[in-house]
Amino acid sequence: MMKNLEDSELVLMFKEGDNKAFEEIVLRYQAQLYTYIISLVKDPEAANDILQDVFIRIFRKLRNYSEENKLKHWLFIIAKNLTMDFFRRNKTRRALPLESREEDEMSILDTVSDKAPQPLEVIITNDRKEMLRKAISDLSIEERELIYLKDSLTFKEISEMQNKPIGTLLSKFNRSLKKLRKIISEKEPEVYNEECVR
Amino acid sequence: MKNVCDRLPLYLYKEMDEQEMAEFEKHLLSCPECRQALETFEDIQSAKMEYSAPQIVIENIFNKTTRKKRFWSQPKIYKTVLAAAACLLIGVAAVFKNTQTTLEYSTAYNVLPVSYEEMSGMASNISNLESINML
Repeated sequence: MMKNLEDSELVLMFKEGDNKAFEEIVLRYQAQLYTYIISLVKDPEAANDILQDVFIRIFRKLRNYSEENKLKHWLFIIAKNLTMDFFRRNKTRRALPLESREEDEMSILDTVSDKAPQPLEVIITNDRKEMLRKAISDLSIEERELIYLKDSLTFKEISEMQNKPIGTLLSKFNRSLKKLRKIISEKEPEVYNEECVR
Repeated sequence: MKNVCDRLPLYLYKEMDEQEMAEFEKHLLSCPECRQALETFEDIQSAKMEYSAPQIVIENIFNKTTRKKRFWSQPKIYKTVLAAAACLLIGVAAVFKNTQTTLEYSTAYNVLPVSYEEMSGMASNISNLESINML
Protein backbone atom coordinates (compact mmCIF):
# COMPACT_ATOMS: atom_id res chain seq x y z
CA MET A 1 0.00 0.00 0.00
CA MET A 2 2.74 2.44 1.02
CA LYS A 3 4.77 1.42 -2.03
CA ASN A 4 2.50 3.54 -4.22
CA LEU A 5 2.98 6.68 -2.15
CA GLU A 6 5.23 9.58 -3.15
CA ASP A 7 8.26 10.40 -1.01
CA SER A 8 6.62 13.63 0.11
CA GLU A 9 3.54 11.73 1.34
CA LEU A 10 5.73 9.31 3.31
CA VAL A 11 7.58 12.20 4.92
CA LEU A 12 4.29 13.83 5.97
CA MET A 13 2.98 10.53 7.36
CA PHE A 14 6.19 10.08 9.34
CA LYS A 15 5.89 13.61 10.71
CA GLU A 16 2.39 12.72 11.90
CA GLY A 17 3.85 9.79 13.84
CA ASP A 18 3.64 6.87 11.42
CA ASN A 19 6.91 4.95 11.81
CA LYS A 20 5.91 2.54 9.05
CA ALA A 21 6.34 5.43 6.60
CA PHE A 22 9.97 5.72 7.67
CA GLU A 23 10.47 1.97 7.23
CA GLU A 24 9.11 2.29 3.69
CA ILE A 25 11.65 5.05 2.99
CA VAL A 26 14.43 2.72 4.23
CA LEU A 27 13.23 -0.15 2.03
CA ARG A 28 12.75 2.14 -0.96
CA TYR A 29 16.24 3.64 -0.91
CA GLN A 30 18.50 1.15 0.87
CA ALA A 31 19.73 -0.54 -2.33
CA GLN A 32 20.42 2.69 -4.22
CA LEU A 33 22.30 4.17 -1.26
CA TYR A 34 24.12 0.93 -0.47
CA THR A 35 25.30 0.57 -4.07
CA TYR A 36 26.43 4.20 -4.10
CA ILE A 37 28.30 3.86 -0.79
CA ILE A 38 29.91 0.54 -1.69
CA SER A 39 31.05 1.92 -5.05
CA LEU A 40 32.97 4.58 -3.11
CA VAL A 41 34.34 2.69 -0.11
CA LYS A 42 34.73 -0.76 -1.76
CA ASP A 43 34.24 -2.35 1.63
CA PRO A 44 30.92 -4.07 2.46
CA GLU A 45 31.37 -3.85 6.24
CA ALA A 46 32.10 -0.14 6.10
CA ALA A 47 29.15 0.31 3.73
CA ASN A 48 26.89 -1.48 6.24
CA ASP A 49 27.96 0.91 9.01
CA ILE A 50 27.65 4.01 6.85
CA LEU A 51 24.20 2.99 5.59
CA GLN A 52 22.98 2.50 9.15
CA ASP A 53 24.35 5.90 10.15
CA VAL A 54 22.63 7.53 7.15
CA PHE A 55 19.20 6.26 8.12
CA ILE A 56 19.68 6.92 11.84
CA ARG A 57 20.59 10.52 11.00
CA ILE A 58 17.63 10.84 8.66
CA PHE A 59 15.31 9.46 11.36
CA ARG A 60 16.50 12.07 13.85
CA LYS A 61 16.22 14.99 11.43
CA LEU A 62 13.27 14.09 9.25
CA ARG A 63 10.60 15.58 11.55
CA ASN A 64 12.15 19.01 11.09
CA TYR A 65 12.89 18.60 7.38
CA SER A 66 10.87 21.05 5.34
CA GLU A 67 11.75 20.11 1.73
CA GLU A 68 9.69 16.94 1.47
CA ASN A 69 10.05 16.89 -2.32
CA LYS A 70 13.83 16.59 -2.19
CA LEU A 71 14.08 13.56 0.07
CA LYS A 72 16.12 11.41 -2.33
CA HIS A 73 18.49 14.29 -3.01
CA TRP A 74 18.92 14.80 0.76
CA LEU A 75 19.54 11.09 1.37
CA PHE A 76 22.41 11.10 -1.10
CA ILE A 77 23.91 14.27 0.41
CA ILE A 78 23.94 12.65 3.85
CA ALA A 79 25.32 9.40 2.40
CA LYS A 80 28.10 11.35 0.73
CA ASN A 81 28.92 13.35 3.87
CA LEU A 82 29.10 10.25 6.04
CA THR A 83 31.20 8.44 3.44
CA MET A 84 33.64 11.36 3.40
CA ASP A 85 33.72 11.23 7.22
CA PHE A 86 34.61 7.55 6.91
CA PHE A 87 37.51 8.39 4.59
CA ARG A 88 38.74 11.10 6.95
CA ARG A 89 38.67 8.65 9.87
CA ASN A 90 40.39 5.90 7.86
CA LYS A 91 43.09 7.64 5.90
CA THR A 92 45.38 4.60 6.19
CA ARG A 93 42.70 2.44 4.58
CA ARG A 94 42.83 4.52 1.41
CA ALA A 95 46.58 4.06 1.25
CA LEU A 96 46.27 0.29 0.87
CA PRO A 97 48.12 -1.12 -2.14
CA LEU A 98 46.00 -1.56 -5.24
CA GLU A 99 46.19 -5.37 -5.05
CA SER A 100 44.50 -5.37 -1.65
CA ARG A 101 41.74 -3.12 -2.89
CA GLU A 102 41.29 -5.37 -5.90
CA GLU A 103 40.84 -8.32 -3.59
CA ASP A 104 38.26 -6.38 -1.63
CA GLU A 105 36.38 -5.56 -4.79
CA MET A 106 36.45 -9.17 -5.90
CA SER A 107 35.22 -10.34 -2.52
CA ILE A 108 32.25 -7.99 -2.85
CA LEU A 109 31.45 -9.57 -6.18
CA ASP A 110 31.89 -13.06 -4.75
CA THR A 111 29.35 -12.44 -2.06
CA VAL A 112 26.68 -11.54 -4.55
CA SER A 113 27.49 -13.95 -7.38
CA ASP A 114 25.71 -17.24 -7.74
CA LYS A 115 27.97 -20.16 -6.81
CA ALA A 116 25.86 -22.79 -8.59
CA PRO A 117 27.28 -24.40 -11.77
CA GLN A 118 26.43 -22.37 -14.88
CA PRO A 119 26.50 -22.93 -18.65
CA LEU A 120 29.66 -21.79 -20.49
CA GLU A 121 27.91 -18.84 -22.18
CA VAL A 122 26.72 -17.54 -18.84
CA ILE A 123 30.19 -17.90 -17.37
CA ILE A 124 31.72 -15.95 -20.28
CA THR A 125 29.07 -13.22 -19.93
CA ASN A 126 29.64 -13.08 -16.18
CA ASP A 127 33.41 -12.91 -16.66
CA ARG A 128 32.99 -10.01 -19.05
CA LYS A 129 30.64 -8.24 -16.67
CA GLU A 130 33.12 -8.76 -13.89
CA MET A 131 35.85 -7.27 -16.09
CA LEU A 132 33.61 -4.26 -16.82
CA ARG A 133 32.87 -3.78 -13.13
CA LYS A 134 36.58 -3.95 -12.46
CA ALA A 135 37.09 -1.28 -15.13
CA ILE A 136 34.59 0.98 -13.33
CA SER A 137 36.41 0.41 -10.06
CA ASP A 138 39.65 1.58 -11.73
CA LEU A 139 38.14 5.05 -12.23
CA SER A 140 38.86 7.82 -9.75
CA ILE A 141 36.53 8.16 -6.79
CA GLU A 142 34.88 11.29 -8.29
CA GLU A 143 34.30 9.53 -11.61
CA ARG A 144 32.87 6.43 -9.91
CA GLU A 145 30.66 8.60 -7.79
CA LEU A 146 29.20 10.33 -10.84
CA ILE A 147 28.65 7.04 -12.69
CA TYR A 148 26.76 5.56 -9.72
CA LEU A 149 24.90 8.72 -8.74
CA LYS A 150 23.50 8.84 -12.27
CA ASP A 151 21.51 5.68 -11.56
CA SER A 152 19.45 7.61 -9.02
CA LEU A 153 19.67 11.33 -9.71
CA THR A 154 19.41 13.61 -12.73
CA PHE A 155 22.30 15.83 -13.81
CA LYS A 156 20.34 18.79 -12.46
CA GLU A 157 19.98 17.14 -9.05
CA ILE A 158 23.67 16.17 -8.94
CA SER A 159 24.56 19.70 -9.97
CA GLU A 160 22.61 21.05 -6.97
CA MET A 161 24.02 18.39 -4.67
CA GLN A 162 27.65 19.02 -5.60
CA ASN A 163 27.22 22.71 -6.30
CA LYS A 164 28.80 22.33 -9.74
CA PRO A 165 27.55 23.53 -13.15
CA ILE A 166 25.83 20.89 -15.29
CA GLY A 167 28.39 21.52 -18.06
CA THR A 168 31.21 20.45 -15.73
CA LEU A 169 29.37 17.24 -14.85
CA LEU A 170 28.70 16.43 -18.52
CA SER A 171 32.37 16.91 -19.38
CA LYS A 172 33.40 14.72 -16.47
CA PHE A 173 30.94 12.03 -17.54
CA ASN A 174 32.24 12.08 -21.12
CA ARG A 175 35.83 11.90 -19.88
CA SER A 176 34.91 8.90 -17.69
CA LEU A 177 33.40 7.10 -20.69
CA LYS A 178 36.55 7.71 -22.71
CA LYS A 179 38.71 6.49 -19.83
CA LEU A 180 36.55 3.39 -19.46
CA ARG A 181 36.82 2.66 -23.16
CA LYS A 182 40.61 2.86 -22.87
CA ILE A 183 40.68 0.55 -19.82
CA ILE A 184 38.36 -1.98 -21.50
CA SER A 185 40.25 -1.94 -24.78
CA GLU A 186 43.45 -2.76 -22.87
CA LYS A 187 41.74 -5.69 -21.18
CA GLU A 188 40.05 -7.12 -24.27
CA PRO A 189 41.69 -5.56 -27.35
CA GLU A 190 40.10 -8.00 -29.85
CA VAL A 191 36.52 -6.84 -29.12
CA TYR A 192 37.30 -3.16 -29.41
CA ASN A 193 39.54 -3.58 -32.45
CA GLU A 194 36.66 -5.30 -34.28
CA GLU A 195 34.43 -2.39 -33.39
CA CYS A 196 36.99 0.08 -34.69
CA VAL A 197 37.15 -1.76 -38.05
CA ARG A 198 33.35 -1.57 -38.37
CA MET B 1 26.64 24.33 -25.11
CA LYS B 2 29.16 24.80 -27.89
CA ASN B 3 29.94 21.16 -28.69
CA VAL B 4 27.06 18.83 -29.53
CA CYS B 5 29.10 15.83 -28.35
CA ASP B 6 29.21 17.29 -24.83
CA ARG B 7 25.45 16.71 -24.62
CA LEU B 8 25.79 12.95 -25.07
CA PRO B 9 25.20 12.12 -21.36
CA LEU B 10 21.87 14.00 -21.48
CA TYR B 11 20.88 11.84 -24.46
CA LEU B 12 22.01 8.64 -22.72
CA TYR B 13 19.82 9.37 -19.70
CA LYS B 14 16.94 10.80 -21.74
CA GLU B 15 17.23 14.16 -20.04
CA MET B 16 16.38 15.96 -23.29
CA ASP B 17 13.04 16.81 -24.84
CA GLU B 18 11.82 14.83 -27.84
CA GLN B 19 13.09 17.31 -30.42
CA GLU B 20 16.56 17.42 -28.86
CA MET B 21 16.63 13.61 -28.77
CA ALA B 22 15.80 13.43 -32.48
CA GLU B 23 18.47 16.00 -33.31
CA PHE B 24 21.05 14.12 -31.28
CA GLU B 25 20.18 10.86 -33.02
CA LYS B 26 20.97 12.56 -36.34
CA HIS B 27 24.27 13.71 -34.86
CA LEU B 28 25.07 10.13 -33.78
CA LEU B 29 24.90 8.96 -37.40
CA SER B 30 27.73 11.26 -38.31
CA CYS B 31 29.86 11.06 -35.16
CA PRO B 32 31.87 7.84 -34.57
CA GLU B 33 33.25 9.18 -31.29
CA CYS B 34 29.77 9.53 -29.79
CA ARG B 35 28.80 6.09 -31.10
CA GLN B 36 31.81 4.55 -29.37
CA ALA B 37 30.94 6.34 -26.14
CA LEU B 38 27.38 5.07 -26.49
CA GLU B 39 28.66 1.48 -26.80
CA THR B 40 30.88 1.88 -23.75
CA PHE B 41 27.93 3.31 -21.83
CA GLU B 42 25.71 0.35 -22.79
CA ASP B 43 28.49 -2.06 -21.75
CA ILE B 44 28.92 -0.60 -18.30
CA GLN B 45 25.18 -0.25 -17.75
CA SER B 46 24.76 -3.97 -18.43
CA ALA B 47 27.55 -4.81 -15.98
CA LYS B 48 26.65 -2.47 -13.14
CA MET B 49 24.95 -4.17 -10.25
CA GLU B 50 22.66 -2.85 -7.59
CA TYR B 51 23.70 -4.27 -4.24
CA SER B 52 21.07 -4.74 -1.61
CA ALA B 53 22.06 -4.19 2.00
CA PRO B 54 22.08 -7.40 4.09
CA GLN B 55 18.80 -8.05 5.92
CA ILE B 56 20.56 -7.83 9.28
CA VAL B 57 21.59 -4.26 8.44
CA ILE B 58 17.98 -3.32 7.64
CA GLU B 59 16.85 -4.92 10.91
CA ASN B 60 19.54 -2.99 12.81
CA ILE B 61 18.33 0.25 11.25
CA PHE B 62 14.76 -0.47 12.34
CA ASN B 63 15.90 -1.52 15.83
CA LYS B 64 17.81 1.72 16.23
CA THR B 65 15.03 3.94 14.87
CA THR B 66 11.38 2.94 14.54
CA ARG B 67 11.59 -0.12 16.81
CA LYS B 68 13.87 1.41 19.40
CA LYS B 69 12.52 0.36 22.81
CA ARG B 70 11.17 3.13 24.95
CA PHE B 71 12.07 3.37 28.66
CA TRP B 72 8.77 1.89 29.85
CA SER B 73 8.94 -1.02 27.47
CA GLN B 74 12.34 -2.25 28.61
CA PRO B 75 12.76 -5.96 29.54
CA LYS B 76 11.91 -7.27 33.06
CA ILE B 77 15.48 -7.03 34.35
CA TYR B 78 15.53 -3.28 33.72
CA LYS B 79 12.15 -2.92 35.46
CA THR B 80 13.49 -4.82 38.50
CA VAL B 81 16.58 -2.63 38.65
CA LEU B 82 14.35 0.43 38.30
CA ALA B 83 12.07 -0.76 41.14
CA ALA B 84 15.08 -1.41 43.41
CA ALA B 85 16.45 2.04 42.62
CA ALA B 86 13.06 3.60 43.41
CA CYS B 87 12.89 1.75 46.79
CA LEU B 88 16.39 2.91 47.64
CA LEU B 89 15.46 6.47 46.77
CA ILE B 90 12.34 6.35 48.94
CA GLY B 91 14.40 4.90 51.82
CA VAL B 92 17.03 7.63 51.52
CA ALA B 93 14.28 10.26 51.38
CA ALA B 94 12.62 8.83 54.52
CA VAL B 95 15.89 8.84 56.48
CA PHE B 96 16.59 12.36 55.33
CA LYS B 97 13.09 13.51 56.33
CA ASN B 98 13.44 11.88 59.78
CA THR B 99 16.77 13.58 60.38
CA GLN B 100 15.28 16.89 59.34
CA THR B 101 12.30 16.47 61.78
CA THR B 102 14.66 15.76 64.67
CA LEU B 103 16.68 18.84 63.82
CA GLU B 104 13.54 20.96 63.63
CA TYR B 105 12.42 19.67 67.03
CA SER B 106 15.70 20.41 68.75
CA THR B 107 15.89 23.82 67.10
CA ALA B 108 12.39 24.61 68.26
CA TYR B 109 13.14 23.34 71.75
CA ASN B 110 16.17 25.59 72.13
CA VAL B 111 14.29 28.72 71.17
CA LEU B 112 11.15 28.12 73.22
CA PRO B 113 10.80 30.84 75.90
CA VAL B 114 10.10 28.30 78.64
CA SER B 115 12.35 28.17 81.70
CA TYR B 116 13.15 25.05 83.72
CA GLU B 117 10.96 26.39 86.56
CA GLU B 118 7.97 26.76 84.28
CA MET B 119 8.60 23.28 82.98
CA SER B 120 8.72 21.81 86.49
CA GLY B 121 5.43 23.66 87.21
CA MET B 122 3.94 22.06 84.13
CA ALA B 123 5.16 18.68 85.32
CA SER B 124 3.54 19.13 88.76
CA ASN B 125 0.29 20.17 87.04
CA ILE B 126 0.39 16.95 85.08
CA SER B 127 0.96 14.86 88.24
CA ASN B 128 -1.99 16.70 89.92
CA LEU B 129 -4.16 15.84 86.97
CA GLU B 130 -3.06 12.21 87.16
CA SER B 131 -3.95 12.11 90.92
CA ILE B 132 -7.41 13.62 90.14
CA ASN B 133 -7.94 10.99 87.48
CA MET B 134 -7.00 8.29 89.98
CA LEU B 135 -9.75 9.50 92.30
